[in-house]
Amino acid sequence: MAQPLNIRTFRTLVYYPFGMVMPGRSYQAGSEDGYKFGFNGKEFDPETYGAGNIYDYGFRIYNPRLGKFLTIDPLFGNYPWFSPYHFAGNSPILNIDLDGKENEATQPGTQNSDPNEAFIGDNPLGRPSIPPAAETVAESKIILDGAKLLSTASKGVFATIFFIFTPVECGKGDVIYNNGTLVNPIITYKDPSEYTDDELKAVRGRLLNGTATLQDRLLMDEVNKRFGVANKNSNDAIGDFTIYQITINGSLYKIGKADLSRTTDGVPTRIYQQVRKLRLENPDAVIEYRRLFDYYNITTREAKEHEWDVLQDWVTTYNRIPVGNQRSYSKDKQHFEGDPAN
Amino acid sequence: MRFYISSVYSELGYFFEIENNITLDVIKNINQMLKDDCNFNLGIDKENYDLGIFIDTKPNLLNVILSKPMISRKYKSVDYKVLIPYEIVVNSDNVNKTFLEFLFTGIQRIFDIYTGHYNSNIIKIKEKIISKWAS
Repeated sequence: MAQPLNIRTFRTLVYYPFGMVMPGRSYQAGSEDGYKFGFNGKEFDPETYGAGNIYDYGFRIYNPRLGKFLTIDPLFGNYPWFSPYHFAGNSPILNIDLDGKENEATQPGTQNSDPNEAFIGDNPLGRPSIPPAAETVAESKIILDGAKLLSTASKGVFATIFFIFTPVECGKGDVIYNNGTLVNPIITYKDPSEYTDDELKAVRGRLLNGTATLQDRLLMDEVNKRFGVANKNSNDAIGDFTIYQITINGSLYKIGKADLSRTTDGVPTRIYQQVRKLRLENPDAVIEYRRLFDYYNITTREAKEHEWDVLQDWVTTYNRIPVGNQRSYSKDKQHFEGDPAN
Repeated sequence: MRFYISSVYSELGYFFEIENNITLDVIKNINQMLKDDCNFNLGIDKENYDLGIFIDTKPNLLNVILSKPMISRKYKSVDYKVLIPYEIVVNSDNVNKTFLEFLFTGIQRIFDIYTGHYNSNIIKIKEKIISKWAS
């Protein structure tokens, strides 16, 4: 059964068979107007002829309004039955053109043609590394296969729908697009300016702690515009934190805070080093690390305050400072309580 | 070479309340076993490395899971995380016994990686510890 999926369509192009865009039947999100891939998954050159009117196929330049390449086929000798300027064997419903040299037949129900595959997640911008799924109008289906967004290309390509989606919310084998219908999606056409501050604050947190989704990355400009750019290590950086304790033979050694985005197997990476160090110093003791409280989407400054509150409760109750906190305690006390004696 | 057991609980609210003396007794006995047989080593270039276990737990586990080794050059140690099923231990009639059985399963698997000939010794230590602390 399909899982809920957060899909944002940022561009929809509907083509005539040879790739010319049908006027008035396309959608383009403003934030993505720099994205230059279209028909057959090829890059277009918007500067010379306008968006979608000229494509770079690698070996040659293609004009979809003419249905012809602008120069002759370097392999024209192999295809004496074709015009040297032909595109996809003059059968764009049956074939695609690979690179401006020769055409390849696409088979209905198969997933074998590169321009119709979109690989998600290996591109630093969070965009498909190969131009995204080309969808036919009929008998088309997109199936999630791990990190891949696969589309079954039927004969020819009539329309290209560019998806930005949140892959963590769906799983392998989920059908998200079937016979022209999006299955169980939550489609958002929201312009970045329509997001509330609270929504963008959560996005900013994910951007800073490294858990941003593809859609979050598209909102980066709006986040920076509203909140300014925060350094990940600054007090204003937002993230998920845990307040933890370390005990030695059951006796409290330290209370601390850790950024949950910097973990190994769910444990803040530096904790392993700390435990190794402590067990060398205390070879006949059992060292234990345990999380006490988790806080999500808070600033580093707020995390420090929570850490201080927990520590201060303990100090007040037991009237001593844990060994691992002694070095920084006076400075922290001065900072949080303004104690002039320290 | 020394053998250590530490607890590093990765999830909030999931941990075992096991008496430290029990864990210390396990550590002591395993270290004695290694001292009696000086031939055990962790492989080439690791003769002087220590062997460590990080006990951890997660919900919905049915059996012990052993992580791949974490090697620290700085502290000269090879550590394995032993994930022990949470619900099975905390809901059992004899928490200490169930915990120790899972812990020794993890210990046996680790020693099996390097040499199988400690199996009988580890079983003896396991029976000794369980009869002392969990009978």
